Amino acid sequence: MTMDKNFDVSPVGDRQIRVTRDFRAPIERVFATMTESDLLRQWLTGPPGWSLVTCEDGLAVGANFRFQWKGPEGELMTMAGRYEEFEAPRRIRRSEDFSFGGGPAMMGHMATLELSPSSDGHRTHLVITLDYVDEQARDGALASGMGEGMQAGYEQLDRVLASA
Amino acid sequence: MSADTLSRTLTALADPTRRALLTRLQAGSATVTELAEPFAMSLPAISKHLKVLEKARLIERSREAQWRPCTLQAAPLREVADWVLAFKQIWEANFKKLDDLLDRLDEDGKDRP
Repeated sequence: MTMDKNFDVSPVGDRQIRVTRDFRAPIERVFATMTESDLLRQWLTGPPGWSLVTCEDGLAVGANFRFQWKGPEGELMTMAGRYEEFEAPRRIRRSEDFSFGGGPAMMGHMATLELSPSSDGHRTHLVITLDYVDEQARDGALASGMGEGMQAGYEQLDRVLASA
Repeated sequence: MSADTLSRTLTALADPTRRALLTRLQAGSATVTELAEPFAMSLPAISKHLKVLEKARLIERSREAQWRPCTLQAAPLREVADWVLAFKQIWEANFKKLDDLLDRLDEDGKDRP
């Protein structure tokens, strides 16, 4: 596909990581895929070999959510948090903390998801901003193999580094 | 590159003065005095930054010459770039799945918004 999707992932300032992407669908539908569990399961699968097995989501200001992914060896990764803002279909702000196996929650981040429609309404622009408490936490998240908790991404990282 | 090494590289890069020093060194080797010139900082302060860069192996300081010129070492920078690429690839893999899902919803989705 040659369509420009404006995909970018970059550190911003000292404490943030920003992810941007365009989708060829109306804003309501993109919002649905990011909030409805049966749709989330179909794409937010994490690294290769993983799947989203638990998807409890309050979808309201003050409500909690809890996602759990299962890896190829049966390992579990959990992302949980609470909504600070929930304005369908444009804006969500929530805390996201990660834990692995039955371990304690690791310091996470605040995630802000913003959707905006193109002028013709056929496309949607996504901006995800991850706010960390300080520079060290942000860099630590980057360094620890993805603040997104994509621990299994290490394997992919190894491959990339091996071919560097 | 281990996570520790990566962490050290990122920490070294996190400081604007150290990034400016690296940018200056892209133009060629320089002594501490030369590097300190454009900055409103003392030589010891600059030396401290250079030590962080040296520890992260982003620069090399000659042991032979008395004035110990600093030279940029590009390898860790390249590895960080590759690593960010790996980070992006994981996001993009999921987003591509989302593209496919949105296409499917578009085809059979009269009942969807």
